[in-house]
Amino acid sequence: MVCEGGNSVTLRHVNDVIDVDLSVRLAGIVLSNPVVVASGTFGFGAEYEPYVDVSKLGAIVTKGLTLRPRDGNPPPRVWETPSGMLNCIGLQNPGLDGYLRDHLPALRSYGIPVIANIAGDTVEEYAKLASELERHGGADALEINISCPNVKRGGLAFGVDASSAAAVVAAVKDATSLPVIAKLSPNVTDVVHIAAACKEAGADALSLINTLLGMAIDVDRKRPALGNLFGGLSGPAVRPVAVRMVWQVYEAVDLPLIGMGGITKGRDAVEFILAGARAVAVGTGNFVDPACTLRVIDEIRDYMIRNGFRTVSEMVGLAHRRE
Amino acid sequence: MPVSANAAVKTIRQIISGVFRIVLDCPPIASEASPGQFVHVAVSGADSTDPLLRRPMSVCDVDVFQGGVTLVFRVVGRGTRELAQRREGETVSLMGPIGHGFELGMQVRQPLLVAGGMGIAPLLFLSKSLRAAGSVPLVLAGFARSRDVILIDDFRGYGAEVHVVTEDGTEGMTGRVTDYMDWAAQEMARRKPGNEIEVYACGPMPMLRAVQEWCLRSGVPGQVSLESRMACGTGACLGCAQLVVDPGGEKRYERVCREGPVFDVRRVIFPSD
Repeated sequence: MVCEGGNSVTLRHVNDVIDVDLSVRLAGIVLSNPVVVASGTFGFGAEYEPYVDVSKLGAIVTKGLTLRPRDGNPPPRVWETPSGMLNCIGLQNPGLDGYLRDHLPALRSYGIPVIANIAGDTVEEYAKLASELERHGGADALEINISCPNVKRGGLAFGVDASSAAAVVAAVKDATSLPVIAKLSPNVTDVVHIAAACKEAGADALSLINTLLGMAIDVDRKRPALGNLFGGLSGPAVRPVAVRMVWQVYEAVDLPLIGMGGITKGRDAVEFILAGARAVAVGTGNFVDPACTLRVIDEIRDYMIRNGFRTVSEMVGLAHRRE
Repeated sequence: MPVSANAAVKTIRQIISGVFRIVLDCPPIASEASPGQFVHVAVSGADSTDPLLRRPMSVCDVDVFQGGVTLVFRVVGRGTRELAQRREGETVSLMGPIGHGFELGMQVRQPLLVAGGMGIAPLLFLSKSLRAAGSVPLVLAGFARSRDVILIDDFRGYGAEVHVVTEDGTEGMTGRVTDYMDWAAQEMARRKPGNEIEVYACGPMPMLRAVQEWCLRSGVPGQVSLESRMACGTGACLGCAQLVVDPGGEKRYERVCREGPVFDVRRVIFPSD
């Protein structure tokens, strides 16, 4: 880093900038660092502008989009659990037109890759949304949401069955030349089976995991805590489940992985990378500390310096080594 | 623009059993906050993930010169219990000020403030601001019983006229605070004939529903501050959805943390149970 009016470079900065390269390639796009945000936890970026320099993120993953606007589920929509939370938002979103008109211009201003998370009731809807997003320059990559536990049709229904998951991925691949990332559900017997089916169908990368289906009862009201009865569990409580699934899929399926589930610190992110994730997403952590993402990036860099890693790829899957 | 900051505890004290008044040293929030806005408070220590989420708390008062932000909260669960255990000099992470607060308008209307229980907290800051703008608020302050009564001296210190209502009659007038809205309106009309009233209310949902019915029946405009379970406090997660209706009859969800917490009383659709 060059000081203003001079050309002196401090040793510390040499270490930071030259020795440690945080950038990663993922499904054909280059991220300046491996930290992205999990869909639905960061809105469309503008919500976090008071707290975060959004342009410093590896990429932004949008709130889940559908062709037409959706109202979402009746409240209560969130409920705290031990080191976690349940949500049943129900894909409330402005729809394709609202996204392109009201959110995309600001999203583009950050100068980082935009990954649009897409959902639909039918395979055709996923495909239509994908092609429309590409046609309007609405995304640099697509993350297919086949794992939302909070909508009646589509969503999770596609993600728990290998042939349905593959059908959605194949249709989206057919409809667009954008890189396609399939976001997998943990609510399955064998995540590797679904992951392999998505690869077979042409997925360029996989995100895992979406939330775990859960429930809470409000014992004061003596009713289900959430308006939609069930919700998705997220936060530090789910991290061991997510790390396990990243580990399993890394062993069996040769695709780049985005790991997520309860990351609030750099060490959490490194855990996912060592298990096999090439990138990581901060989700619920954004709610706890709005600047969580930037702290995680700094802490990954510190970890790399302390442990002598020069690139992120040196760390990816390292915990699988046999010596 | 809201900020995220670590604020030192200036003072913390229990004002009645289970209710705490904490003053946090946070000049940027003290100078930016307006009545009805809230702060999002990290109740756990820095390395703890349990309780995980922040707690939204209305700004009860600010001291712009000293940089103090006052919150008044009841210990109702683990989060508030953790916050109550903070000591002077320790820090608390805050986001804020957040949300759409009360609109003070052009002061052509006489302010009638209706408080229920802990809902009185944001109305103190509002009362101070209304007084500074030249109005004398009439405050109906409702509590379950005498030993729950809080903040009355603070309101009087800021020049408001306060009438306490307790459900069991152990202090002030007896009944529910909304039972006295007709009386208050008549009193205000008698003193300043021709002056229109505006209602500002905060309290439990059944009370707010009664306030809404009164406002609609009386043709009086009103603003209500709502509570919600909340995750992000930035508008991103859509967890704090509140059903509202537009004048055209169209219903939609708005965010308590962004379009609220203060809503036009006519727009709110309260849940049925």
